[in-house]
Amino acid sequence: MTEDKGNTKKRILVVDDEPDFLMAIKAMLEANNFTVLVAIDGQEGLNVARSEKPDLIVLDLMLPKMDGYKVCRFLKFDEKYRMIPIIMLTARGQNEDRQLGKDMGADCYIVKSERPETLLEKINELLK
Amino acid sequence: MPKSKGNLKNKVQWLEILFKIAKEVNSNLGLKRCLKSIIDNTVEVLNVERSSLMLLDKQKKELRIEYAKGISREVIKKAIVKIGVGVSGWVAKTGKPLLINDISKDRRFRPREKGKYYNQSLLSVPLKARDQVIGVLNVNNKRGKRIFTKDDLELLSALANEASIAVSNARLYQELLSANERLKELDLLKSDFVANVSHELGTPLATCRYFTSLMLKEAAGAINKQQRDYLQLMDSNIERLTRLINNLLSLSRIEAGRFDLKRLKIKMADLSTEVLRTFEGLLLEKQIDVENRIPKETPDIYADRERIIEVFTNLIGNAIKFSPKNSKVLLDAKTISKSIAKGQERKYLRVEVTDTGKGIEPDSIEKIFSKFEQLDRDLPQREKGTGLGLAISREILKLHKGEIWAESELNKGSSFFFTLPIFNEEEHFFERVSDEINRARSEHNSLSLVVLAVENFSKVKTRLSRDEILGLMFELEAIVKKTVRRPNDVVIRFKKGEILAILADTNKEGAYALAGRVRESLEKPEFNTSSGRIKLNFEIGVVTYPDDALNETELVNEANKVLTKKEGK
Repeated sequence: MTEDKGNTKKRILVVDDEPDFLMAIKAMLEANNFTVLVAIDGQEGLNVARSEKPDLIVLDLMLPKMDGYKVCRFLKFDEKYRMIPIIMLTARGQNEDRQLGKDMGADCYIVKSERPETLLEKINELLK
Repeated sequence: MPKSKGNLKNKVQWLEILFKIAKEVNSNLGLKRCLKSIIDNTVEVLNVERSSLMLLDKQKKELRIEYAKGISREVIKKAIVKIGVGVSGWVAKTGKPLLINDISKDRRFRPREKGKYYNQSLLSVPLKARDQVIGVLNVNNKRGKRIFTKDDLELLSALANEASIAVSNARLYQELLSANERLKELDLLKSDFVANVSHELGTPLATCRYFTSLMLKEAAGAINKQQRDYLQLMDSNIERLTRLINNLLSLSRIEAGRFDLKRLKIKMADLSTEVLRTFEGLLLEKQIDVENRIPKETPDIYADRERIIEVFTNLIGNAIKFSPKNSKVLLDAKTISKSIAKGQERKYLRVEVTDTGKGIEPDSIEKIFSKFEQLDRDLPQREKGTGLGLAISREILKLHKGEIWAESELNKGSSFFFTLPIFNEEEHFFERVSDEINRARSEHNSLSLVVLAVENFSKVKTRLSRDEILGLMFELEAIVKKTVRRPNDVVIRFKKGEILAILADTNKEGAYALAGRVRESLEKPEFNTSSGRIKLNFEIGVVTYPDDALNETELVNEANKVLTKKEGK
């Protein structure tokens, strides 16, 4: 993505309630030439997703105000936002999380403790 | 002691009654029925008009009537006797039986109302449990204005003894029930704790990992060689900590018996590539070549995806760890048949992970599956495992009705194999029910299935996209889950539009109550879809072990009857 400059940069919305982690993932994505939008709870995430229509969303599962599943469901069952790829991110691959995430229409599901490269690969794959 | 023939006849009758009561007390009649039987028999055999059984409230130091005959309901409700007051109070205080020939002449007691006893002879005995008074059994108004005898006292004491046993049993049972409730609550707290810890630790660790990785990639400026080395050490230790936490969490869940499997259809080839990807760095570093021969298409396996990933991670991790540089690791999977009973065969998928490392001593080959048994003592600290991986893997496979074992030749390498049974959707559902019914049987619990079927599913299906159907089923599942409040009990079957909740430890009554609540929450279903509001008709059924069915086959058949009822319409 090195040739992408200015307006051609892809915009990614990251929704997570942990400020430090948000900063980490923002830095990582910016270092890889993405524009990063952030939201710290589910409601804000949904609002930003609707108003900004990002190219991709990285969504935490356990969020204040509205959990990640619900945000995902609202977007994936709405014609206008259905095409935005969503990556569900959670602390640990708890049993039903993955299936639920998929049922809710998430495009992919990643455990936070996996290497950052895994997330990057998935993002690039989904943005192709 | 009986002297006459009449007395002897009485005595025989008494013994018969006592024997009958003793039998009732030891059966599961319930306290109320036992006490009723004791009082009824007392009244009859002692030939009295009134009998009352009072129980002692230790804290309030008062007696209340638990069961009585010949006394009006209002009196039963109101009668409260303080310890030490009146005849019953005296017996409760002293713990001694009391036989009074004429109460009007007994200075210790004065009847509160005239005419309370038309016969002045009274008899009261204490109920005792472990030498403590727990109540009093009273009789008065012996018919024919007769006076109570020593034989009467003896018999009443024997009856009181049976009553004490009945009361103590009931109380012990109650205590056991509430202790069991408390344990269940604690168990839930523990698993909540485990889940919370995993979430709380996961995010800070991930944060460290992301920043370390950024610095290593010089995203925050150039770094020198020493800085790179240090950061790399940080990175591998974060990795180790992550593994350790995951292992400890798994083990604590297994040991708490709360390792509920979420069996879903999985593809072995996909899992293996997913796991291999996490080892890419290490493979590159050690120049290890992995030959993955697991076929793209293997038979359907219903297994807990995360758990099998855990097994794979442990095995592949070990293989890489014990392989020398520039060597090879092989993955493979084959379908095998194994006889499980006479003439009965079951198909398994056998997965293999083979390395070309130094091998395992024959003596150690079984030991490596024990907790905290490590073969990597001589490896550097950062490469050391947790000593839990294989123990956890074995537990995981046991839960899946599979196996894990190792074969090895010193200095040539080791092969680790694990097997998983091959099931179709029906067999898988049957297995789940079978697991639960066995548990219910051993714990003397009930087990219920609540079957929720969308009656007009085939019609609904034609109007909706695949995503919408999934969303709809999810919504329904969420409603059932919310009502059931035990997420692990729910099994869903998408294909035919039905949701089956397997409710452990739930009797028919409880299941009907739940089914009723599910129906209530479905009364105003908001299913807005792209093709407008959709109206769904539901069929809800309940089947219970041991009421409707005594084994898994019957239970599944009964559940299917509910479903075919739906399709027949």
